[in-house]
Amino acid sequence: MTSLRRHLLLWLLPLYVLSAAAAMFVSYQRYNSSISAFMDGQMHNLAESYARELAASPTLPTLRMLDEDHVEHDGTPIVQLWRDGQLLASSWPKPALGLRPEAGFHSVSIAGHGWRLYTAPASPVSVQIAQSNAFRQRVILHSAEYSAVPIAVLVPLSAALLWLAVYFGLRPLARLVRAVTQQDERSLAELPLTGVPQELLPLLTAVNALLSRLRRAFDSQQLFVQDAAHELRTPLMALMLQAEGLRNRFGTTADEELVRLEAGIRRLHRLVEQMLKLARQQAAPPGSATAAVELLPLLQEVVGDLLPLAEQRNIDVGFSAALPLSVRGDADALRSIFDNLLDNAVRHTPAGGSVDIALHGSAGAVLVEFADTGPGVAPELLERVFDRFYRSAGATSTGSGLGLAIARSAAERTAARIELLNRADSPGLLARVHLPGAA
Amino acid sequence: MRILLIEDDEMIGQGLIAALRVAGLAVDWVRDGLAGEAALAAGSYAAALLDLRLPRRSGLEVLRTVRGRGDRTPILVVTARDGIDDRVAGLELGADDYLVKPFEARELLARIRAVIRRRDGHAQSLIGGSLLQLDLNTREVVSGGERAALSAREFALLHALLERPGAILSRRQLEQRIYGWEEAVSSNAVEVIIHGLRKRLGAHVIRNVRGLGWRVPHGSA
Repeated sequence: MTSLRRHLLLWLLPLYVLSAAAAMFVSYQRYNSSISAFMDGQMHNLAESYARELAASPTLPTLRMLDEDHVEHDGTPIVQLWRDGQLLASSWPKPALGLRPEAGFHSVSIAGHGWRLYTAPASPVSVQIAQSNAFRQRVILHSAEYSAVPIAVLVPLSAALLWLAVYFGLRPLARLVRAVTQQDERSLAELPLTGVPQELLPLLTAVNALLSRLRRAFDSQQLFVQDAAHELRTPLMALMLQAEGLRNRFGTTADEELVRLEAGIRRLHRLVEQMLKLARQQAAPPGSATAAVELLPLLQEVVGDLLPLAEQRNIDVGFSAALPLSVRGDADALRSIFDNLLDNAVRHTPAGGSVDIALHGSAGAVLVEFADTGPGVAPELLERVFDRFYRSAGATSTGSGLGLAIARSAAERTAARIELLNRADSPGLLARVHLPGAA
Repeated sequence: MRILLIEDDEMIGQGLIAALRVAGLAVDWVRDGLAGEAALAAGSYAAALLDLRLPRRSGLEVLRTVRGRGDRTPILVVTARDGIDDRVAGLELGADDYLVKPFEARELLARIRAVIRRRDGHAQSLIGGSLLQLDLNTREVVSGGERAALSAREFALLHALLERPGAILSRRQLEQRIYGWEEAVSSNAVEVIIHGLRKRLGAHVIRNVRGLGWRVPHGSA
């Protein structure tokens, strides 16, 4: 993966260090040449003043004797007076600096020590001035250091600023990532184009075009499912009428094939209605009808609607609640969750079993539980049973395979969470609905 | 009694005719909207079944035309669409009832009889399901074809339960229906009344739902 930030910093930071080093080198060079020229000038003036003195009076001037500290530390030039190749006087005897035959500046090295020399022409006494190169270098480096310090301080500082600039420059990207993360198949909103860097605009425009195509595709798919479910109702109705006609002809004598035909039609009916319910539920925008919902009357209705099926299968449905509770949510979505979980529990409980509904409330959270005495679900399949048209092995053939998918899709619409687990106390499935309280 | 069926689907048409004839009704069948309008203008029918999606003229348009010329024939709209908007549109245009496909012939017959009765001005005095009914005029209970008188509290309790057969009512809800706001209610008053009713009418007519309350089963279950 390439990171824009790393890429930018990887290029810009070495560039910074390099140009800082170059700036330091150039300033050293300039100090070198200007300080050398200045010191050369001083040596030249010194030599000239001795030469003038000698020309005015033949007596040799007395030279102040220098020690190593003067020469090396202070950079005091050594003065030598020569005549006919003979050293007449010297302010520092130590270095064996011979007289340069030609006048002018020289750089020499004697016994590993570098010197700068200026030799004035003989008239007839020659004046030769010498200065330690080590001193000169020290002065130049010292001066160069002064100018290098601000650069050295500025480099890390501006690198940090650069990092910040890159960070802030890439912030619109982070915002975009958040905007994209919030999308799902039910809310494909276009990405915001305000405050977006110009370089990203073409990309965003293309993404927005893609999103709107996607939205149209989802919409038309949902419409298709709804239409298909509606269209299926007419032939289904025709089948029902034919079966009823047969039933009228046979009377109430239980003909096994007719009973099976009727059961098949009922199952088809349920499947069509569940498909329609799911498609409709997914088409409505989530969270659009949030209000305070009293759970007890809602569960009363849910249980009342399902009791005929439960009684037909001889299943005892019971309810227990500590106190009346209300939650904030979408009443239709909640109804759909409870309907499908109870339906699922009743259908998967063998005849003679029981389904217990319990309502628990704690600070700000409400828990609704549906516990059945059916076979439960193998732990590895607890997630898969939410898949559309999933059928567990050995399941009764009366379900549509859509109930739990509908419950989960309804839960997503109303900030509820459904949890399926096997009961700890006895065989059976425990479906839990976690709801935010009404607080 | 003669019923007009306006339906373009062959199989459904035949199925409905068979079911209605079994119930002793005579049926005329037309297959498009225009023919439906013409038949309604010509004959006098006890009721009409109108599919909404028809060739040549839609069911809603037929409804508008028929009601527009003052025809008061009871019309039951039959459709595969059951959105709230569809229902409202149908009922606002003057449909007497609204049936969503698929439905059973039994259901259709009950609805046809209900709209005819309503149109004939017979106020509905019997409420309840097939197991237990309440005659609101005589304040009697009808069970297995036999009538029995009720005390005021028994009547109030059964009235509450039979308004929506199958629905569960909690003790609190029943108490509110039996007693006035100010009246003191003993803790087991509802149980006592229900116990008495069960003894007279049979234990199966009022069922307890553990933790939630009581109900009268809707059907013959």
